[in-house]
Amino acid sequence: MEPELTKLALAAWREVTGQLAFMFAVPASNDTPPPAPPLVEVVGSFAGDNADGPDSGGVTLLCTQALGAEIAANMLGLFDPEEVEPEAAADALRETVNVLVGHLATEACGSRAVFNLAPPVASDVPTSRWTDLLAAGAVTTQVEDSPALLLAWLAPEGAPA
Amino acid sequence: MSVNVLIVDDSVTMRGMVARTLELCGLPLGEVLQAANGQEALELLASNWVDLVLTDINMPVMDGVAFLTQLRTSGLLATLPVVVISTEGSEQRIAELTEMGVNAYLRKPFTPEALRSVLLSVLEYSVGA
Repeated sequence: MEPELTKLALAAWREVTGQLAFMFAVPASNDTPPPAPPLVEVVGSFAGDNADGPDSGGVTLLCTQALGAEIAANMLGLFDPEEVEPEAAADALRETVNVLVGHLATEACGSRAVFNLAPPVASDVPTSRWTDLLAAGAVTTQVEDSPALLLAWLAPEGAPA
Repeated sequence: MSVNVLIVDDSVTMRGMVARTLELCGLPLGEVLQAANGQEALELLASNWVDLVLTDINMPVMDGVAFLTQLRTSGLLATLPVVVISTEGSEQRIAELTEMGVNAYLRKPFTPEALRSVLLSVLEYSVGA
């Protein structure tokens, strides 16, 4: 990931997790071992009309399902993340990525450009995906006790495999 | 006077978060209704009176722009105060929403203080109008 894009994505991630879920996110070493499964990958993207620069891009988030439950619990004011249904945990991660993509689009492309955001898609993935995303340029972030990977991209490269 | 609110967002956790924030705002809350898209919102509004609508823009089935368009041509509902709570940050999109009669715009993510401030401003204007 480009250093400037990494900086933007991490700053947006910190703001979004802080204000949506009242959780602290900080950059972490890419040597951080992958967390225990099950893992979920959430991909969100934007496309639009930007005469001054990139007109599409997106974000991939890889984290534990448990982090999704924690984010959902904090958003809903629940004391115990185990009270959160799996669908609500996935919904919280999709919404988090949706907000993240919106911020990245504005920050990377300017507030004058108009974009449409595609609904983020969440899928269960094997632990090997952690290594794949790191190889594609993802950066590691620590959300309180949970490591996660973040990968942002802008056109014309598209989403890394 | 209690305030009935309709929250329109396709994310169930976002609707829950907004509802929870409303409770923390100290407003005299009445009924808080929830809809997952504009179509559901219009169906709820056909049989329920609310004082304020908080709506997202990007939603399946019927998005926020289509919902607002129908709302603003719906007789009694045409002047219903609407606050858009959305991820979008485009100046052009916000200007379009303002032209459509949106009373305020709040960008996600938001702080409880920001939501409270927007609601007080919109409700005060609405009551005073």
